[in-house]
Amino acid sequence: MAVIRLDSDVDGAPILPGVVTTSLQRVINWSRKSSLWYMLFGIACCAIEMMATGASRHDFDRFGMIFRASPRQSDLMIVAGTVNEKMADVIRTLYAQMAEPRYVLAMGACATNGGPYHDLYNVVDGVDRVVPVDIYVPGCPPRPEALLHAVLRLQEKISQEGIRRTA
Amino acid sequence: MGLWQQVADGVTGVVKGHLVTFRNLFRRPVTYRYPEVRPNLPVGTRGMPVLLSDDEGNLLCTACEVCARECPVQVIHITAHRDENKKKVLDEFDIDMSRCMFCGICAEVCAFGAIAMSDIYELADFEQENLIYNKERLAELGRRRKGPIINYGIKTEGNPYQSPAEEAEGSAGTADKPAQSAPATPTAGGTSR
Amino acid sequence: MYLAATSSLPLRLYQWTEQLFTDLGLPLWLLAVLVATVKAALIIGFILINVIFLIWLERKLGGHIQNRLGPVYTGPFGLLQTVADALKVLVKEDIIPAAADRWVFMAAPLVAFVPSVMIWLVVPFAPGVQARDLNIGTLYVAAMTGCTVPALLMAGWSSGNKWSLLGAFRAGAQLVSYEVPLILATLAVVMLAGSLSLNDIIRAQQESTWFIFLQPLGFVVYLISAIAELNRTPFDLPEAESELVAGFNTEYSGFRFAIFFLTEYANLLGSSAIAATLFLGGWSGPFLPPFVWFLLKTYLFVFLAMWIRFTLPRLRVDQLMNLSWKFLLPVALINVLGTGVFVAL
Repeated sequence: MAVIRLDSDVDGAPILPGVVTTSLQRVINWSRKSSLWYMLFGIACCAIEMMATGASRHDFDRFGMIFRASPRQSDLMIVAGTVNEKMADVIRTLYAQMAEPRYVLAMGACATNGGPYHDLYNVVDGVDRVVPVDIYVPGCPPRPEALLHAVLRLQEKISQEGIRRTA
Repeated sequence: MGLWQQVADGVTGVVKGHLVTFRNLFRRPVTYRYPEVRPNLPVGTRGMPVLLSDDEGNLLCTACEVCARECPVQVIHITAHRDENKKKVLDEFDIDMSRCMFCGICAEVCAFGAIAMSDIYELADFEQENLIYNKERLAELGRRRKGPIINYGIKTEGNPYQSPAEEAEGSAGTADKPAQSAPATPTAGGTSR
Repeated sequence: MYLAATSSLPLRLYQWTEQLFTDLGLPLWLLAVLVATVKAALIIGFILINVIFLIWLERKLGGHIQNRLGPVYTGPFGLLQTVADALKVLVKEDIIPAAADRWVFMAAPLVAFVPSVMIWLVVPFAPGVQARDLNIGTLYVAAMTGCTVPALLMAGWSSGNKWSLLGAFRAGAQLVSYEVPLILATLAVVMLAGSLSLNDIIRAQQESTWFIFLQPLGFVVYLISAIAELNRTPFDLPEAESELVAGFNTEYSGFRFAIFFLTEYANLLGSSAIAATLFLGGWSGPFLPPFVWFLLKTYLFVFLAMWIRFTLPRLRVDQLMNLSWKFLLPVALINVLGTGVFVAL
């Protein structure tokens, strides 16, 4: 029996080319990027800036982003702060518990590559050693606008993806 | 405090709280819509450090490496060689923005005023390697300087990230945009410092 | 068929279909099945459209109460936000944890969803527009709201997660506790109307006045208990983020979570419709068509529930139980007593 798949092949060529595929893909990508529910956790000082972004002045909800406490229901993990060795296991577990498609945003210098604590014995030099990171935001901590900019760029990335996420 | 007093206090408290939220429902939202409205940051904001050039477009940096030594997170990497006059010539000047703390010490210690803190902060990238800014990129950003150097900081124009609306307007409109939105941002008007 | 009692188009449609069935020699029970299916589809469609609007309204209202904007980039005023959320959740990975009791886990969202739709069986949308005019309407509604407890317990227990289990226990305790004042508040209204049927209650209100004026205490008790039944914010202990990750739906992802989410808002809408019928005179009202009055009154209650949600902080478990058993229950009993005296006089 022939299986009709609507997503793209491994090499990126659509198996079922045409209007149906692309428009479905576009609609689904639109829905994914317009409702990035982020996980409710913050590790260090960047979390304060993340809370500020979620609060009234910058308002994540404009982009359809609300927090979910359960990793099962969240799409985006904003790693906001220094990831130490103990926290790395927790983050790995949380990432494993998230449902596909899932995205990781490394917020700030510490989550990107250890930041000022990069040579400490207990700090993981960047959360990308633990989980795959989609986008890095420099800053110590980044301004709320910088975080919003990262989210906008992540939305651009999502809108160019296939239905089944290959990454 | 008797039971009735408690009940009365509870009810008045709840009613008062609801009146507060009801009033706020009709208040103007304080949100400013970031991609459309961009903050007009004051000069001296610690954004991304950039390299400044003189009027001919040559970098002011003399490769003395004071900044690299003073940098608390050691993100500045400088290589230089000496020319026939024993004068230091800058070969490479890399700043790893992914680790930079934007503390501004490099700009403060620079004896030649070759580094300044710009108001660029939209640096997010999909690859960590792209966050290492080399001499050319830093100098290019430094040439976008607009106005004087105050508190080791500069303002720039033609920011690398443009929202779709701004792109449609064309790059000419971007320089005026923050000025128009000045009343919306409390941090505006720092140039007088 | 009650649906076809007054409005002429459905009546004619029904008569035409009946004629068709007799002409074709099809059994009439098939017609009954067909009519029931059409009614169910209409009601579920009504619920879905309203829930999509409700979730958007909640986010927008919450945003403006907190001086924010709420969703703005999805369609005009962010109206398509819920559509985006629903689509995303539907195409998201569906995880069934290894520790979960597979079949119970899969059944729980559906078991939770069914009572939220069943309530609508007796809700009068407009004069004559009602799926079934049960003469025990209010009792039926009370029974159906009680049916949510096992679903939540199923979800919590089958997840194999301590937070889910604790959330389910809390939900069970809370729903059972608040069922009592809720039914007592309804009882006072039933005593005034002298009937359990929701249509008779509306008729009684047309004759006298809205029962909210005769039963202010009853309305307050009903409002508080209904919000507690709905697990909404001042009483959202079963899904308290700071204590139990997400309560009984912690382990649910993808469309199973979407069904729980849908159930929550369908219940809110159902409770609001019942409240509008019991206290605000249902579809009765001047000038506007009855259905518009029904929607307006329902959304007034919805607005009250959302307003309360974005004002009050979460209670503690002991405060929650105290409020129900030590405050609402005596007040509701006194209310029933007073109503009895009033009716007897």
